[in-house]
Amino acid sequence: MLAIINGTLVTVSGPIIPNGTVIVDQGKIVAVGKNLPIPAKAEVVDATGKFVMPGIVEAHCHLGVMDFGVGEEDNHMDADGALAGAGSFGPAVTPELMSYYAFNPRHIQLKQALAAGVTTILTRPGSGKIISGMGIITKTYGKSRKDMVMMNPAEVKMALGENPKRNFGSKKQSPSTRMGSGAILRDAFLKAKSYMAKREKDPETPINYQMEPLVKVLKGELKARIHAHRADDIMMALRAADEFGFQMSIEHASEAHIIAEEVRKRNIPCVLGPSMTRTKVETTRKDFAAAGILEKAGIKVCITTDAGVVPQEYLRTCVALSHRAGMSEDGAIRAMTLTSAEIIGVENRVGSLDVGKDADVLILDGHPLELLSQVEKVYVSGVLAFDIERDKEPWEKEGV
Amino acid sequence: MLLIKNARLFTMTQGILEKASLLIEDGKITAIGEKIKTPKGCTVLDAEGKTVTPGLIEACGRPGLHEETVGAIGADEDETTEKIGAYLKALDGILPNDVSFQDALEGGVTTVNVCPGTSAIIAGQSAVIHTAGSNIIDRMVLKEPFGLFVNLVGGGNPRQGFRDRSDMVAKLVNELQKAKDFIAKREKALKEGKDAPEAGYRLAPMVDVIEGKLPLIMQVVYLHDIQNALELAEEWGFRLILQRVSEGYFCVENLVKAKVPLMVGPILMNRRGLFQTTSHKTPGVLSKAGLQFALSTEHPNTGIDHLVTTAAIANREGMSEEEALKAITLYPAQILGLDDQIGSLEVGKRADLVLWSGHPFETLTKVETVLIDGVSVYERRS
Repeated sequence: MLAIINGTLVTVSGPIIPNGTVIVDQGKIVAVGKNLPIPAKAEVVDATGKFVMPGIVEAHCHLGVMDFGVGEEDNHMDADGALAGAGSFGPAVTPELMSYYAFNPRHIQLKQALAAGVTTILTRPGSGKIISGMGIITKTYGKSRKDMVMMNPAEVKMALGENPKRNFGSKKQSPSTRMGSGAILRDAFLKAKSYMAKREKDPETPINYQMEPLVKVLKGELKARIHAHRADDIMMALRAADEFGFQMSIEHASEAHIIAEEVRKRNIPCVLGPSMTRTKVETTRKDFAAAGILEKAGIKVCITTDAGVVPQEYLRTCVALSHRAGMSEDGAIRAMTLTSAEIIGVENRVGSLDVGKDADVLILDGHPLELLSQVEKVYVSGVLAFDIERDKEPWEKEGV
Repeated sequence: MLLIKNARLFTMTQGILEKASLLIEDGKITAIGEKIKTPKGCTVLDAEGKTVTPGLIEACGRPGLHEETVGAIGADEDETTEKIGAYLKALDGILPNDVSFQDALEGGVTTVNVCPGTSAIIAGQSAVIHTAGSNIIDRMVLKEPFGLFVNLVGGGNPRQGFRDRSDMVAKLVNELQKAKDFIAKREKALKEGKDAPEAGYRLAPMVDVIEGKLPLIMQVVYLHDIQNALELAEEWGFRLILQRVSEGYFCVENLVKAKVPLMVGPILMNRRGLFQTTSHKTPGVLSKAGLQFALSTEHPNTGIDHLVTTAAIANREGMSEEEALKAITLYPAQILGLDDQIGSLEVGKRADLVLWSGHPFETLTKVETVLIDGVSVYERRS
């Protein structure tokens, strides 16, 4: 049992509580409020002068499944997929690939994310294909992989725009244009639809592992999460969602703010970013002001680093810069906690300081949106997973 | 007939016998003890001061399949154009007089499970063979096929380029599903009084896997490789053997619970590529948790003649002497399902044995004589 007392509680779901207490038991939050009685057996952590908030939720990253820099881990972008023998789709459509099997729970970048207060992530395949596979939602800390993973599969990842075009165009394969991308996306869903009808009619139709994930998307059991930066690419995704009636989110959404009305009227959420760097043509018009514009238009928006594209440590920084550029304080804090959790579908477990949720709790030495404030303690399911003093590397300690 | 007398016998099943004798007739061990009468016409070998162990068993390696020093001409372990090669047989690619078999004998290795290479997802069927005895591979075979070699390790193999674990798992699962579908189809046909359909040579090994006749030997390196293999075996119910198990120290509990046979190693490696996290301490950590497993060189990753060196290092780094010796004799014999024939000095077993000048784990000890089925296949020249 754990009692974090005297902190400024950023509950996210309700107002800020000064001098508040959070009580944790068996990995869950059991009480949040002011002047709470402290159970006798609770370990007490004094957070006087500190801010207490829920663990940060990253809705879009590649941690543990892609190794930026080492070139030794898995990379769904380059996997040739296409099941031998099944042959339902071309190489640009591999919905059967599961990030779960590629996820290395001991990856160094998970440790770095944890130290920055990121406790829940949706980690997934890359964007080199039209349909690249299924991502997972996992904690960044836990005893074992089974212990950490919260949802598998959590989505079907798709991508439009310049990445698949470049990836396959350079190999003289399709898609080499946006026309090709649109056609391949439609073709995949048409095939999945006819497979679904066939299976419903004749249950003895053999299971096809490539089709099954798309069937789940068509039935609304999994969401399509579609990488689209430019407005024209976003529109292509929206057209497909209209035609096949699936649920989706726009991933990256760099130009969603210039077609906000189209996005709003379909009630489609945006996972916005990474806004820190401009690395490709399709990110030319990216802007930290986009978050505020989308927020004002009434669109559900959370912010992403696309880690390791931008290191996971900078999520809070990106959110702070979006706040500076016009997003409300409440909206900004939600954009890395509760809204992210809602968009990926784990808001019943994480994203706010509420009774019954996982005790993923951060203690910071200042306001979460201040650039200078540091994460001092990170609890995951009530366990002290990171402590800025305890977990210092040898070279960070004085006297080395 | 041969009587070895005055020897120190490392029996593996009955402890160490000092000043003991061992009688060999018709290729089998027929008597072991302190006082054995010398039968008429029997050759006698006085092994005063020497040690006798069972012939060592390499649980996984590629001698003869990957011919050393000759490059592509002699590289027969990877059919690189084929990712699903369940029908491929190591037996078809082994050169019986490859130099590595001479190395094997110099290191006291008499049996090896020759496995296909690491570049395919399903690489092919392994063959358990003697390391000497004939120029014809068929006459060296102890068990073929033994297992189906499967690779779930992403990343590293340079001959394959960049790979992805989720891709490999998806392809393996697809094959398992095809085999399962075939079994259902066959059952249905038989029930309806029709002729059973043919699986075909490409799918037939996978059908054997689903039916538990053929184990999968899965190469696993990192923690998530090991967990992938264990979770897939649980889901599909196939017989599983884990090979390499480099990061086994991260998931000892998983391994203890799963009770799957392990072929641990190589541990004597530089840290290139997938060997980044390989440790000399792994065998000791696993052994202290009560696990019994085979140690392996995965020749040519470590030379097959260094199987005994591998065991000695494992002993130095935390494994008991007894367990380290069993890990290169009795335990691999059990894993390969040949412990009724090899792996210990016992009456009735094949007379595959090694005469050492001293304790096998001592640096200066040499292999002096190697017998396979009672026939001398190696004598050290002074």
